[in-house]
Amino acid sequence: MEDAAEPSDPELVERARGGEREAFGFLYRRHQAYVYRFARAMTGSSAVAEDIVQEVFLALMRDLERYDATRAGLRTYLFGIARNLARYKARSVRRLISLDQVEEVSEFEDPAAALSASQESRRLRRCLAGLPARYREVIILCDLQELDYAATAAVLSVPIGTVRSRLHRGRQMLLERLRPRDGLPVAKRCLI
Amino acid sequence: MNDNEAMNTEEKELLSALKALAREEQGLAARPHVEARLMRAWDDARGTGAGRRPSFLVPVLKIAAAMVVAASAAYWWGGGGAVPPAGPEPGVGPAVMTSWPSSETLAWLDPEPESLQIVHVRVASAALAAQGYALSDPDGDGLVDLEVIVATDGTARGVRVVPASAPIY
Repeated sequence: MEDAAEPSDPELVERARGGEREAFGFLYRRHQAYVYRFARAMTGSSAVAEDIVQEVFLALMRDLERYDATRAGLRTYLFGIARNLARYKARSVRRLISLDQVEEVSEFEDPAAALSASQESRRLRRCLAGLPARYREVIILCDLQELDYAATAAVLSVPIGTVRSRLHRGRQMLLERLRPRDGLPVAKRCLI
Repeated sequence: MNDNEAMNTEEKELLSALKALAREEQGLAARPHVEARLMRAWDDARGTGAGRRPSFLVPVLKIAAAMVVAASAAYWWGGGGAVPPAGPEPGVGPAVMTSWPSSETLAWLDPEPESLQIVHVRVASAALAAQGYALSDPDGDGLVDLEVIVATDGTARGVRVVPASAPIY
């Protein structure tokens, strides 16, 4: 949330267009953590997330003139770029993760209770990472980044109804993956 | 409790867990080197800014070019009649002068000619073109080899284009 005393995003974009270095730096510091967390959740890799942050802001630097504040908020615009990059990069990153690197976790009868501890947050993150991208991204945007449906729809370039249905379906899939099944460890099940 | 109610409870717990996860990740951000790299890119793209390092070569080449023009004119007007020790004309390509610089030229360039040094540099032809020095690139590798006569005060007294095979001092 922007402080009332601080310059707004459109004002900073305008100043950056005029070549003001500090304005661009201010925009970066205001939004980079959100883009980073989104990219990290999408790809599961801190290093790749940093690459994405850099590429997102390089794209903004390059196309400052193209950004139209009347069409979308700057963060929404940045998430849109990050989303495309993350989807592209996630494919190559996933190929590098083997099952050997996956930590075994204990089974819980009740999936809700299983989510209480920090270790379970890791499991949740892993299961989330195993969802198909179209469901994963909508959960990350709505439930982790707390964007509203309209902003999420703008990031994904889909109707709001699609956001709602994907969110519902994605949550169901996530719950399904968190439930114990057939004696197969959840950690491995999440990667299937 | 029916399936639907059970699902709602589970879903609420899931949302609560996702919120907890979001809180855990609240402090995560890209490390400072990412910002440093971006701001360097900003400086490079805009050609200005505090982070931009001054280029030693550009002023050297400008001074050298001015000195060469002045030396050529003075030499001709003074009746020397010899071909001035300038580099080739832009677009002609590298010229190899067998006696560059001559002892007369050195004496003219500096009162202490023995203090002059020749520096062989390899620069991007695009960088030179951006400064107004359009030189041909016979090797096609985007690089141009130059020999610069540098005095002890750090200023260039002469410059010429040389082939890449020229010795490096």
